[in-house]
Parts: sequence; structure tokens; C-alpha cells
Amino acid sequence: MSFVVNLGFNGEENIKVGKSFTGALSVTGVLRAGSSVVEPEIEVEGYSSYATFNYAYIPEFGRYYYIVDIREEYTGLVIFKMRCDVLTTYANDIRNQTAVIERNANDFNLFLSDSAIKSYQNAHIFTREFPAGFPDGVFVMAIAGGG
Amino acid sequence: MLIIATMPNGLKAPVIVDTNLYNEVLNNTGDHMVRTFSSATEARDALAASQYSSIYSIYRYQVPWVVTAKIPHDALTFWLSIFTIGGPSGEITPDVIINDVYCPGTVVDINDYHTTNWANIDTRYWFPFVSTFAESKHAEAGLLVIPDDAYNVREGKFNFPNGIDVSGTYSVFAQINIRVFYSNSTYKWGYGVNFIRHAVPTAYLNSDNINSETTTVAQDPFTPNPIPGAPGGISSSEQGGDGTGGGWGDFDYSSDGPQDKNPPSISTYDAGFCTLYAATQAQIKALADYMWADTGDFLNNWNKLWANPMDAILGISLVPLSGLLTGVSTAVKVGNIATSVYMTKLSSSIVRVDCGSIHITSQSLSHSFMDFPPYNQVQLYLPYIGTVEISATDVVDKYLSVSYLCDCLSGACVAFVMSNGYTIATYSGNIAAAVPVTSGDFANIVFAALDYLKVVGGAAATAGTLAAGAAVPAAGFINAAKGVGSGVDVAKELFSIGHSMLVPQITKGGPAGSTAGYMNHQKPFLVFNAPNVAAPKNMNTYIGYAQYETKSLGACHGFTKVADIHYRGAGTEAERTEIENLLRMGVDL
Repeated sequence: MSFVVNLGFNGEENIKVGKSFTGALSVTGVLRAGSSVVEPEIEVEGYSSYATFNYAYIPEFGRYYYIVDIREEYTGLVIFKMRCDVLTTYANDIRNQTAVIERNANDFNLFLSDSAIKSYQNAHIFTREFPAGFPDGVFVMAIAGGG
Repeated sequence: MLIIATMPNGLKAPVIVDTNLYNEVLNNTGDHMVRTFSSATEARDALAASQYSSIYSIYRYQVPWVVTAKIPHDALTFWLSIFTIGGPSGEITPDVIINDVYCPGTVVDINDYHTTNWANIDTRYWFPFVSTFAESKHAEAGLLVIPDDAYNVREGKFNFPNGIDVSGTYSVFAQINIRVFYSNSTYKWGYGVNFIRHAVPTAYLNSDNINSETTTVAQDPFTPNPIPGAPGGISSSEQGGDGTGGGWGDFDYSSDGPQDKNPPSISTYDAGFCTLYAATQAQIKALADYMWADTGDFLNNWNKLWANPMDAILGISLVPLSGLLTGVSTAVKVGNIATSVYMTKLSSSIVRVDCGSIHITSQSLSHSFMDFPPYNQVQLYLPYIGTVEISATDVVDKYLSVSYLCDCLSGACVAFVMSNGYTIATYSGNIAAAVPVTSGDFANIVFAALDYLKVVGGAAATAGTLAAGAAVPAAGFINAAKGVGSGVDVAKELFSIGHSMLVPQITKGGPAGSTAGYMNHQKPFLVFNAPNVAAPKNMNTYIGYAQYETKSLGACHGFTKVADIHYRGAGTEAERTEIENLLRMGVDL
């Protein structure tokens, strides 16, 4: 069974949830026997310039894929080895999740102890003096009797 | 039509609509509250004739607010809100300035979390309003007035979930400016001022503790602006656990004492068997001259009473309490003999010395957990007592104060170290440097000094230098003073002490009482050993900072790492597992 494969380029970091990709080129491919939907190997015929593609979307599978490898089986048949990008494929589901957030780039609490924050060995030594203290000295004499 | 001001989100926060101010504003604005003009010129002229003259108007008002409440979780909030009704978007641009805030605690500008020190007399908070609504706009400015130790500014959270005592009188001078622009053919316009003050903008536990009331006000032709939420505001004080503070107890961490210590009502001096005089150097010398002068009469009388005239003088000491001289001078009586020397007779032997307070804010340091133990180490030098370790928790974002009670008779002193008004530690020492009037006194003084040298010798050993050199003259003092004993033994003892302390130990002070204390600093001071934080640039974008809250991932932005998640969504089992693993390693949302 053949299906449409949208090939493109993604320059975003791998940990990005909901990636976008550009330069989409729609081709027709087939799932190679023995491969899976999650890690498919797609056979595409009739094209030759695939080297710049690193990302794909297969509407038939409803999944976005990293292109892990591209190899030419023989002249005119290119095999795309792909791996599902779950962070983009399920971006909406992920955003709907509720979780205990351990760390965040923008919303954080610096008063939580954080082992990721280091300190130099040369600590800051400084003093703060109280505004007042003992005044000058005076002699105090104790004499027997009630005075 | 009546409205009752209420908090958003169904919270029971008591909201006070300041009726007086509201009415006053209405009066001042007069009939210009609602008008329809036939032309821009007419509108402009009408505005110019009103108190809000021209296109820039100022209204100033002081709002005193007496608070006797303890507010759980949150703080006082002063809100100013200007609303405008009518006219197309962009026609009216109000803004609000709150300035001249007099209050205890830190003022937090909700808009940008900026904090300043208290009593920000000239600080202005400006929150220009940019409306996207054509028919109803409002400008808001808000201030939080909170105790200094309670607020985590960065996250808008409060460190003390049990609540904050915000008792006090607050005055807010509000300056309200309204700019009106005529740029559209629709000339119907209006404006009003809605001064709203309310407490506790966000989640809190028990509004019954708040001494305030909900006021109903007559609704004017312009629907008063709804009680503003905190723009960009203070989020709930979720701190983990069940969201109320990291546990399931009552979170009662409030202090109930002891607070400041007053001098005791009775002291040993009150027994009446002795009399204390405070004297200047000249006065004490005059007495010595008087006593030892060859005047005949004095000594003759003296000898009738005492075998040794010095027996009448129980002691003379030097104490750092020059304020004792402020009393009325009277003729000194030695025994039953009134001398011609005048000194200040003390009515009480116990004197209070207040050293003031220090306020070290976390904001002035790293404003992070590193400002607190075990990262930030603090030592407190107390005159006549020495250097003690205290917890940075008692210092940072607190008012740390020190006061002494000193007994002039015995020389004993007690230092009370208070954090935010509550005593957290007491230390005792001695302020009196004895003046030798007999040979026995001198021996005691030398022994006291030798004790001091022992400790100093031990501390010096830490740096590789023994105090043995000091032991020799010290031993000599002993021999000279007592005429007995062995200087060699003392030196051995000192050497032994020094040797046992060769293991490095940082000692920043020994006993600081008596004479040594008098030569030392007379004001307490803090010594901080604070971490030198190494924070790589844009570290948060790579690994984030700690958050530890339960949140929707849709509300998270940027690098996000979850502590735990139970993924509920599409995907094969392997994909779902991968999603959970990736979220635990950190993703970019």
C-alpha cells in the first residue's frame, strides 16, 4: 500500500514539543516489510535528491518522524529509515497533561534547593554592623551602705 | 442597582470599595461622568473646564487603612482602578500611578515584582493600561504591602503558609491620571475612578481572620470595573505537598514570644546594702585624691568606722555605659562620711542598651536558596560576649536586633538577639572592667587576662603559632601578683591547650568580656560567609530552575522537566513510555 510522505527539514532542537518543518516535498512511498509504524522504513522510488531532508510527516500514520538514515537500495529506490517524533506527534496530548514540574525555564522558585546551581570556592565574606552599640566608658563605684 | 464587590474565582476575599473616595471622585468629576458631546471641540473644552483639566489630569488622595488582622497566606493589596466607558478603542487612555506609600514591610509592584525597601516615599509605580476593548477599559495599578520576611518575590509566593501578621496603619497616596484623546468622530465618552482596596488577592484559607468588610456601593452609570485580578500577578502560594504548604498540619509557625525583655523589677542592688555611683575619670580621681589626702579630718573619722578605708569601697569598675552620667550629681558618701566629691548616684543597677536592628534582604544577596543555611553562614559578634554562630534563616529577610541588659553592680550582661521582634537567643557576658584598688583585685584581673590569653593562644595555634611566647610574661604576672605558683606550669598548660588545637578550627574570637571587651568593638556586627554563586548565562533555558509545582504542561513554557507524570493520551505503549521518559529528562514546551 502506498501513501503520501511529506519530507522536509527541521532545525529545531530535538526536545522541542511541536516542531515545525520547512521545505516539504510530498512523495509517495510504501512501508517496507518488517518495519513498524513507530520506526518505519519507507521505500520511495523516482527521486534522487533527498540528502537535505531530516524530518517527515506521514498523514497515513498521523505521525511526525525524524529521518534517521537515508540509503539507496538500488538506483531509483531510496530507503528512508525513520523514527517517530513523539513530542510533535502527540504535542497536543502532552500539553494537556498535568504533572509535577521539577524544573522550568521561566516559572521557577529560586528558594528551592537546587543542586544544579554551583558556587565558587571563594565565598563572599562581608560584614554588617548594627547601628548602635555600647557608648563610652564610665566608672561605677560600689560603696558599702545605703548611701 | 447594587453590586457587591467580590473576589474572582469564587474566593471569599473581603473587598472594600472605598465609598468615600469613590464619592469624592464622583463629586470632583461632576457631571462630566456621562456626557455626550456634539463635537471634539466641545468635549475638549468641557474636559478642560473640569477638575480633570486638559488632557492630563491629576487626582490625589490619601487613604488610611488601619489593619489589625492576621492574613493567612497573603498580604495587603492596594488597588487603584480606573475604568472608562464608551468611545472607540484608543480614544481614552487612562493610567494610574500609586506613589507615596507609607507602610511597614516591603512594597511589591505587582506588575513586575519589583521590590523596594519600605517607606518608599518617592517611589512611583506606574502601570499603563493598554486596552483591547473598544467599549470598556480600565487601568489598574496594584501594590502589595507585605512583611519583609514573607514574600518570595520571584515567584510571587509566600514563605510562610500559616499567615502573616500585617497589623499596622497603612497610608497610600494615590495619584490618578487620566488622559483623554480625541481621535474619533464618536464623541460620547466618559470616565470614572474606582478606588478599590482589598486584601488577599489570591488563595487563602480563612477570610474570617481579616478585619475588613465588604461594602456595597451604588452602581454608577458606568459599571464599576470588576475587582481586578492581579495582572501578571501573585499566584497561589502552592508550596508542594497538598498545595498548602508541604504538609497536612495546621502550619502554625507563628511565634508567641518571648519578645523584648524589660529590666527585672528588682535586682540585687535593690537590697540597699550598697550604693552605686557613676563617675567620670575626673570625678573618680577627685575621690581618690580626697580619700588619700592628708586632711586629717577625713581619715580620723574614717578610722572610727573602718579598719581599712578601702573596705568601704566594694569595687570600682569601668563599664561602657556613659549614659549613667545623665542623672543628678550628689555628694558621695563613703560610709557615713559625705565627701566633697560629686558623682551620679544610680537608682538602679540594671541598664538597657539597645543596639538597633539590621535588615538584610535576600534581594540584596543572591535572592535564592543560597542565602540560607547551610550555604550562607553567619556569625554575630556581640560586644562583651564574643562571636556566636547564628542561622542565616534568622537574619536574611528578617529584622535582626540586639539589645542588652547590663548589671552595673556585678558587671553581668545578657544580650537578647531577636529576629522580627522575637527572641531567638540570649548570651551572657561581663561588661565590667575592674579597677584595681587592692592587691587582691589586681591578681584577679591578671588571672582574668590570663584566661583570655589561653583562648587566644589556642586560636593562634590554628594559624601555626603557639601562644607560648605570651605565656611567659603571663606567668610572670601571676608570680608578681600572687607571689606563689609556677610560671613554667602555666606555660605548659598554655602549650598543651595550643597543641590540642592544632587541628584547624576557625575561631573568630574568644572571650570578649571585661577589659578585653572594652578594647574591642562596641557595636555588634554580622559576618557573612555567603556563597559566590556560579550561574551560567541563560542557564534556565538549558536546564531550567527548580519549580516543583503541579501544573498543566500547557501552562509551561520553555525548558520543562517533570518530576513525575502519568501520561494519559494517544500513542502506543512504547511511545507513551518514551513521552514520559522525555518529559522526565526535559523538553522544550
